[in-house]
Amino acid sequence: MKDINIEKTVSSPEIISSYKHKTITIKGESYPENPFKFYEPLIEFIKEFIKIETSLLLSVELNYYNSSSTKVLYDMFDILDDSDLRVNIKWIYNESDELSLENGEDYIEDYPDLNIELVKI
Amino acid sequence: MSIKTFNQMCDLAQQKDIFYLTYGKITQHILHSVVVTAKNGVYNSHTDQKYSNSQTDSLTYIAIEMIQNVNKYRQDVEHGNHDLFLITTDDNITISTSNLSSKENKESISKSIDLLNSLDKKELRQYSREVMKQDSGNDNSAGLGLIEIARLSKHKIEYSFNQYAHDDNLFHFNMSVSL
Repeated sequence: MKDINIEKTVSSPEIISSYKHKTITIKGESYPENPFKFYEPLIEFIKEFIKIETSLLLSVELNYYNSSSTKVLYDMFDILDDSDLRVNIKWIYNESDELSLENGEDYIEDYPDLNIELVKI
Repeated sequence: MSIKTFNQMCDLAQQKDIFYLTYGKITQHILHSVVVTAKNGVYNSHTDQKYSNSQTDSLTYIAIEMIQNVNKYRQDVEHGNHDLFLITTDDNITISTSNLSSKENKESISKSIDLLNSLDKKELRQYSREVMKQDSGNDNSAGLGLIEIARLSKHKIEYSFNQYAHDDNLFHFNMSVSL
């Protein structure tokens, strides 16, 4: 499997995967015009990853993201939740970002099997 | 404050203290400019006090959703572009947009905003979760962007439609939220 290495832009985050270490990191701002298209390589990577691996650590640190990006994350978590993968997710949010905290809390409630940890910075 | 018409929004821009104003086609580039400008700090024009990081975050999130909504639903016309984006700062931060909209969009947008304005904060959060968990492409719910705007706004979303140039099928859609 080929790892993903997408560079950050002004409106989209950096996405880095490490097949060797079983990690995916999403970091930056996320308001591209078409988030579904932007995140497609990551979704495809995850779909292949869950076929062959047993565990994953996903780290998400987004500052300012649009509602469509939130929707993409829900779709991504659905895929992970439906798989047999042992998943740990770090939801890293800024202390002043109440929306991000609420979204993290909602993800925890909606996906209890994904071991989502809230990390305040 | 109640935004009635495009002209009244222009009048407002002259009366109130402007943090950001753009007229013409609102692009993704302009959105980025708004985000960067907000990061540098937003100040109450009467007191010179900096708004809290939390308020600035809400402003940025709302600006993202409002501008991307304009880009998505704007009706193009032959002569000129009629997008307007305005942030004023005094006792409240107020974010306003105006763009041309079709008659079809007028009905669906009105229905969506009226629904969202009928919900309290807790209900809006729950509604947002329900819509997020639906399959993509479901057209029976208020748009995701409008829901997030309603969640973050301190007050109800104010909006109006005003007929454009005697065209029954074209309207100025004006929307305004306050923090």
